[in-house]
Amino acid sequence: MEPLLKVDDLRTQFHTDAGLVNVVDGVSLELKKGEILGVVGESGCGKSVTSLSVMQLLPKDISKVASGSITLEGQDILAMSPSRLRKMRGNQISMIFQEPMTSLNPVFKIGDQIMEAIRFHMKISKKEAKVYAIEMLKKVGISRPESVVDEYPHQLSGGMRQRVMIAIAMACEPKILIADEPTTALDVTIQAQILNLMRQLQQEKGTSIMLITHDLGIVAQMCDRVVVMYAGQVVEETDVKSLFKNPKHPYTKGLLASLPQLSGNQNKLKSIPGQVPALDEMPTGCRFAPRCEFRMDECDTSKPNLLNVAENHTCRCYLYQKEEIPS
Amino acid sequence: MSAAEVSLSPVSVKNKKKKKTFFTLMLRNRLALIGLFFIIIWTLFALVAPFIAPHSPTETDTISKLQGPTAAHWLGTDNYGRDILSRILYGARISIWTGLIGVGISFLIGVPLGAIAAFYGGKIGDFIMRCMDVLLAFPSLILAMAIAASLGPGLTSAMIAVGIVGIPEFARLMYGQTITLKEKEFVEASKAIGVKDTTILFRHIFPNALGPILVHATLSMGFAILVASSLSFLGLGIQPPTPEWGAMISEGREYIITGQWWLVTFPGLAIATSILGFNLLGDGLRDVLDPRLRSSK
Repeated sequence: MEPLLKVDDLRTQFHTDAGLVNVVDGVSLELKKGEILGVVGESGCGKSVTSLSVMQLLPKDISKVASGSITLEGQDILAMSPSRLRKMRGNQISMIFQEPMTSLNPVFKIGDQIMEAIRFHMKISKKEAKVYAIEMLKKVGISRPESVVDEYPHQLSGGMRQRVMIAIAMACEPKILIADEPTTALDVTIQAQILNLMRQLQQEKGTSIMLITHDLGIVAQMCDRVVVMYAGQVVEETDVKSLFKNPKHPYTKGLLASLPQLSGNQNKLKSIPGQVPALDEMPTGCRFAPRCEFRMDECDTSKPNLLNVAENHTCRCYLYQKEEIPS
Repeated sequence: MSAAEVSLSPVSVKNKKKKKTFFTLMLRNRLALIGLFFIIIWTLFALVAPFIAPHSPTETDTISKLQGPTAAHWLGTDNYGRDILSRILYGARISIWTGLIGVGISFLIGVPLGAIAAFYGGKIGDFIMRCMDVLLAFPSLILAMAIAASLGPGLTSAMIAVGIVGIPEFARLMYGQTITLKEKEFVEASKAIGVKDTTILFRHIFPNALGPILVHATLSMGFAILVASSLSFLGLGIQPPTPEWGAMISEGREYIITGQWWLVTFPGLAIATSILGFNLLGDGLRDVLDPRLRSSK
């Protein structure tokens, strides 16, 4: 089946004091219809920049997509005109952000902010839009939606605001929802509620979700497939079961080992030694090599490619050269 | 009672509370109230000047010229025997009007320029802001004089001069506001649902920047009145015999030495109190509108 969203060999560059650097370097990923794709990695590994590249919301003056392609149902997003892009945003692809406390405009009522998207994309009257906004608030589980539409963001709690953000993002029933760390700023109990809500809306509407997170617990709970990113590259991609059962890449293994376990008598949490290399000081070989416990000579000299290590399981590591299966 | 009604009541109470705080804070701020009092007084005087003025502001009476305050002329007469009280009352119309139009011009040109420069940035932004810097490089009165002189003396050119002088301040203020606001997540969030740039500027950035702009506009009113008076004092603004406070001081200044102090004192007080009024109100508004200062009280 043709994927809904296809990112192919995306390279996004930022101007820095050290010159042009590739923040996203050759990322390829696919999002199928009705699927929840997890994108996992440490801060600064290019997760958010990948999603902003898809939305074409990169800060214009300091960054650009240098090469690669992004297609939405076969249409090239990179070639779209600004007005076509505006029609796409919110209507076909929507996004929710990490910080619900600041993602709503403090001087407008909740209802007005939901209606903004609805009226722009659906061309309906103000009255109808308000009814629809109340309907959306009800759908995202806000009690007394009739009064919440007339309230200001500061009158709502963080969890409620994130629900409002989801209501805004889902208002026009987009095919794809990009959720950039949607629960990072919320309490754990609220996190679970928000994730359940997203899952429920996804099942009702068949929306595809690209869930960007650094929390492997959320990945295990929500996702069908996972892309693990490290330093601007995809290092492993597989379905969620294989990732937890049979992680291949040393980085993925490290991430999983650093999760606290409820069972067992692990006293100290494991961590991956070292830090993500700076963008302008990337190693010539494998980018993870300096921190890798399985490091070999060739890791330092040449770049590993993504290898097919099993069916629907790719990994960027020389350890699996012999296991590679032809695609 | 249905569930909806029950849940509605705390909200409306909350809303009322919020509205109340603005006015109670305003009422608690005594200096701002004094400022407001002066402004209201002068605005009233300006509105009803034709009805309360005891004499015509331009009627000369050479017999009773240069008289000190008397029962017939409360604030005395000038060198043409014109009633100073009447001239001050009529002068309020011109001063407040010049202030309003002048600040209006600065606001309507400066705010969009600053917003565009910050929002689009790049070469356009640089160009706009460097032009503003050029305007700011001149001392404001010198610039106002140059503009008024090149347009020819008169009320209209005084207003335009006052307006142009105020543009860069508004532009810079709006520029700073927009720069910080455009990076806010709610702006990014509205871009992510496909909202147009112009809509974002008008609906999301402008209302959030309005507080400081409003304060600046109030403070500028005082400044505008002062600049307009200064222009008239220098002979570049309102021309005689039209009553204008600055022009009245200008005409009366030679009589200070000879002891006719009322010619300059009363128009001077009028200028001082009206400017003081706007400045006090502006300071008060800033205190009330700035949430950080509000919470500390």
